[in-house]
Amino acid sequence: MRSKRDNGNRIAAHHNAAILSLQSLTDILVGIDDAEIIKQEAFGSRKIGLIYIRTLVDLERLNESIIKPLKTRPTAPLLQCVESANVSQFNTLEQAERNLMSGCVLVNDMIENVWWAIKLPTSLGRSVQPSDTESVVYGAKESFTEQLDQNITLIRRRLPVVALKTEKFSIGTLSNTSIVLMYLEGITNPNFIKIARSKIKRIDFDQFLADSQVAAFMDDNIHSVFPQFLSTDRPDQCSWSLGLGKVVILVDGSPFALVAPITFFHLFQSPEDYFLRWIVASLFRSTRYASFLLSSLLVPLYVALTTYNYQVVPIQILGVLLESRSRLPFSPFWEALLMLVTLQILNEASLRMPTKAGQTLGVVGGIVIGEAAVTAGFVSNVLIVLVGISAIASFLVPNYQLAKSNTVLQFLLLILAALFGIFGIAVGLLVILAHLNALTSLRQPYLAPVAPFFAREWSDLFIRAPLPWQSTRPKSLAPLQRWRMGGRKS
Amino acid sequence: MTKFCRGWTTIVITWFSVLFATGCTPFVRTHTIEEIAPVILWSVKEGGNNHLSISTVVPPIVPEKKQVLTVQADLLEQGGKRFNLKYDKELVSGQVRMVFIDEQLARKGIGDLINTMMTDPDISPRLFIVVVRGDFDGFLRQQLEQQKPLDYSLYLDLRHYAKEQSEISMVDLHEFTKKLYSPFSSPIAPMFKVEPDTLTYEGTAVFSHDKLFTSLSQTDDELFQLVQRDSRISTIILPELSIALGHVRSHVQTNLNQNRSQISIRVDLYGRIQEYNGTKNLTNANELDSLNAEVESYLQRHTTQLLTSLQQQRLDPLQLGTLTLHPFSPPMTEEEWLYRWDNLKVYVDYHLHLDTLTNVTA
Repeated sequence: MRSKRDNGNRIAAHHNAAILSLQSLTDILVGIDDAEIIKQEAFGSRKIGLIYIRTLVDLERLNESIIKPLKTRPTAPLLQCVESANVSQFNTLEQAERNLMSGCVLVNDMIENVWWAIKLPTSLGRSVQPSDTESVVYGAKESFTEQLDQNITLIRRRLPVVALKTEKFSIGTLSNTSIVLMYLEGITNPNFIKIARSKIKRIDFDQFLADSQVAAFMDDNIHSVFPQFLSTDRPDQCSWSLGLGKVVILVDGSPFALVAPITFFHLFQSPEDYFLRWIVASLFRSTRYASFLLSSLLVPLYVALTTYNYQVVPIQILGVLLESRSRLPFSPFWEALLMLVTLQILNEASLRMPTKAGQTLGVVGGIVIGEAAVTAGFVSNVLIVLVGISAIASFLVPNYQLAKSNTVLQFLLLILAALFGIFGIAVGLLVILAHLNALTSLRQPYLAPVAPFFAREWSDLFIRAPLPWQSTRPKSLAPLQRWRMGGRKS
Repeated sequence: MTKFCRGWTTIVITWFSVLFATGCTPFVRTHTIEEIAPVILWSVKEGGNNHLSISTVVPPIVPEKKQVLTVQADLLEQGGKRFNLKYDKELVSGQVRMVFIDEQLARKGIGDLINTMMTDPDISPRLFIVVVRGDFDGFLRQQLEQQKPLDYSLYLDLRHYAKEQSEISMVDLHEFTKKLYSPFSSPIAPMFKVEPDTLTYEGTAVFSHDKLFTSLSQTDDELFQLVQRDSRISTIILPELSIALGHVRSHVQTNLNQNRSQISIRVDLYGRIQEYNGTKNLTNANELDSLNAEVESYLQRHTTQLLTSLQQQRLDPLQLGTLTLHPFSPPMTEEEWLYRWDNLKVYVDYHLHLDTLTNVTA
């Protein structure tokens, strides 16, 4: 029986069988229009074959670094003519194919039958731009791009130490995606590096287009709605995490990096927390926690109170609820479900539409549909207010994936509220808490430093205490160097 | 068993543990808000032939045209059920916040009524108990013509005084029940009098067990407010001395001597002379001291009289019996305490700290 890995690698295995020659390479490049094969060109006394993919190679550098020197120095040895530092010799067809597809020019000395790969990849890609998903008002504006090397540069600039190690791996039998595991040697717990390394090595799939796909193969619990890797496009966030003793995984072609191990509470921390005054930052962070609870609980609580538990509603609000619901055709659950589904439709639509049309959608969705729904008597004005607050509160969670997960929690709690009232919400929250407690990120507890309890780390949990007070790295990360102070040179 | 199955088994076990360990049932009764009428007020009085006459205002809370529903019942719960037969929506008791009990019924005893409300899981113990003198149902019917949200505005008034914890002896069901079953205190409740178109605060109704025994009115009530706990009263009028004290705060210290033969109450009174219509010159320090002494003497005399009268009636609304409680010694029985209370010597000592609002010269 053929194993999964054998099945996935059958394309590469097929080529391994053939012998490396100009003819065999020509054969496998049949049907690739942008492949350039320059055979038996006489550069002086040499007979040389050049093979490259036109769209992957920087043609200007090809001319300057290879073709021009070969023509102007007809008698010099081949390697002395090539003006590039990145030259390697290879001798298998598989290596030839990999080099070709990663932007190398393959040079064949036809007399001595030696093959060289000269790396001249095109620098096509967008420049460094401000982050869209984690924008900050006060702080660095740089964000990652789709180019791996550029992303490593952005982190290295912030951590110019040789202890910052980068281990490169290649995953995906079709995409051949490069991923880089970064960590600070001497600070990061070797156990995390070992786990991350082994998880990366076990990845077996054909194509990887985004960091989240890599995370999906590395998650400890693939069924959880909670992200077990922090996905960030900010280099400062990555360097801060590396400094604490975490590992960072960069994926070629993705403008996001994966940070691990993380806890549930890390998802509420914004880079801006560390740029603002500590009291202000603490207030904002607390607001984020409150908003998360509001966005998940507000609508389910409305359903529970209006369906079962009218006793606990303050009388002032009870009067408003009685009036607003007195002539509605739907029960509170269907009313809330209708509004939440409408909100999801508007949300999805606004993401897919062009920016200018998105503004119109906001007006149509928010004002026209909302107002019309109340006037027509489909929903109560109280619910419109609650759904509005809930939607806005969900945007305060800085982690995009958690904000999306929140929607699932909201629906779950809504169903429980409709079935069992406040009791259902309490049971739902307990189940979520039990699940969070069982969850791990790189096999480290997801609810640390609450469970297990690390008192010192509470200074950067619900509040962000002054930085001079945070003199140690989180104990939950078991760093090799605990103290963050004492490194000042005289 | 896979890790996934183990996780879910944990969750399911947790779920059922929560369900059964708390004694809760997930099968709750639906009370869709638009299908119910959560009443906030009950008025209970004698209905003749040992019946109760229970009234409420519907529709509750919302400012719409309202009516007073009255039913005759043997039991309070029976009354609640009969209301539903008379009204198109289900009248539910989960939001009842005020019970107005007729004085005549209160004099006969309200123990059963209190027990019924206390043991009903739907009824919150944060329920104001009020004693009314006069035809409260008639007052409701008359006032509903003039002000639609009458039930709600009554609740707001009572809640305001309950928050202030002074001026009016507000009490809720929980406090009342606690005092009812304590051997060291007599339950109290505010007493209101129904006049043709107003509801006026009369004073504090004092109960002996579950029966209304007496009521403290006007000055006695003000003095009771001052000494029952540290309190704040906006104005105390002493007509005999032609003086009004404003922004009055009292600090009370009570002490029972070792052999439990005498009790001393020291009241430090802070405030200012708000109005004075007497003959003394308040800018003169000697005359001001003399006025202070007169006020102190007046308050001491009247407070002592009040306490003596309570002693004679074997009532202890100030809960002075709790002073007999000590760690590692058995508490007294109610009879024992009341006997001692009747024979205790009571010393009241007022210390006035008044601001004059004028310059005082020596």
